[in-house]
Amino acid sequence: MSVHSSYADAIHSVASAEGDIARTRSELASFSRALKDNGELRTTLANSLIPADTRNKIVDDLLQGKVSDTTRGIIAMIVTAGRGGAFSEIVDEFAAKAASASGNRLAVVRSAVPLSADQQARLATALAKQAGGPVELQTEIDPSVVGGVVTTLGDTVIDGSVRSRINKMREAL
Amino acid sequence: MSLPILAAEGPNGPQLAADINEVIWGSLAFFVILGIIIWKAGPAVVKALNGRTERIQREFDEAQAARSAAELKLSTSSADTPDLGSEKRRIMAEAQETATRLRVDTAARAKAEAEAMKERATSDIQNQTRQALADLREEIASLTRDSTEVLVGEQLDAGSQSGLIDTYISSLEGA
Repeated sequence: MSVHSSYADAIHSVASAEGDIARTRSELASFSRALKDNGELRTTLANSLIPADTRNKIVDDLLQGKVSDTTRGIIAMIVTAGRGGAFSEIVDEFAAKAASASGNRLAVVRSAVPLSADQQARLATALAKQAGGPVELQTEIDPSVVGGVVTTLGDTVIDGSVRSRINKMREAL
Repeated sequence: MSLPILAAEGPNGPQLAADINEVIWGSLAFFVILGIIIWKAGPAVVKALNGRTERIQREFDEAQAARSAAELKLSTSSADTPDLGSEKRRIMAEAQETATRLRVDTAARAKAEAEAMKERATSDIQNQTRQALADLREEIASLTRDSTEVLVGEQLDAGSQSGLIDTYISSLEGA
């Protein structure tokens, strides 16, 4: 069992105990996305030379009132343990475990704007048909997608984003 | 001055001793001794003279033989020794030929190196031109992509975004 997996198990246990796995997973995914987009923040939180209290103060300032206490506590645990550099991997592992625990496969869905409930239901159904089993969506807002949707289901990426079309146009140029 | 005075003093005149018998016996003894000397030493002297003559003749003959040998050797070596003038000309010709060949080789090598350098320079210029064009194309593509993203993002209102998502889901449903 890897270190990431151990942390993912711990997070899953905490979220299960709090009874709010879906929200925790969504909030952790959003913070993971923020870290991916902000290299300075990622480097700061991963820097063990900076005292843990200082790193947690930064996190508090960023997330004050925006996430649940459970999510805040989990992030503090990871940052204090000096695993800020592997935050995304731990969160991805946790999301996969959460979906697996409920008998579903995890599909990470990125879009520039939020999907409506009807769109999420249709997408989950369509993906379940392709995956051959129930699929649980983890939606993320990612402005770099520009428009459309990018879905990651296991090792498969279904890219229907405007950005990928622009990139194809750029390659054609 | 004293001799005439003394001679004048003898009875046999100034040329002879005073006692004539002394002259006779002296002369007789002289000739006897002279005869003995000629008798005993004459052949040795003659032999020595003859030997000396023979030795001189032999040395002379040897010198003549040496001279003849030297002349023969000189004539032989002269025949064997090539003409210095022609040898000099041959060496000069060879030197000139070598110099000419070196000059030609050097010129050919320099020309080949110059051609190679020219080819390399041409290739470098072409590569740099291609790289510059590729960089320019990349830059234009990046700028186009960035500006397109901005333009498309501005054009995509909520309805358009929702429409794109619906299209995406429909494509999955139809797959």
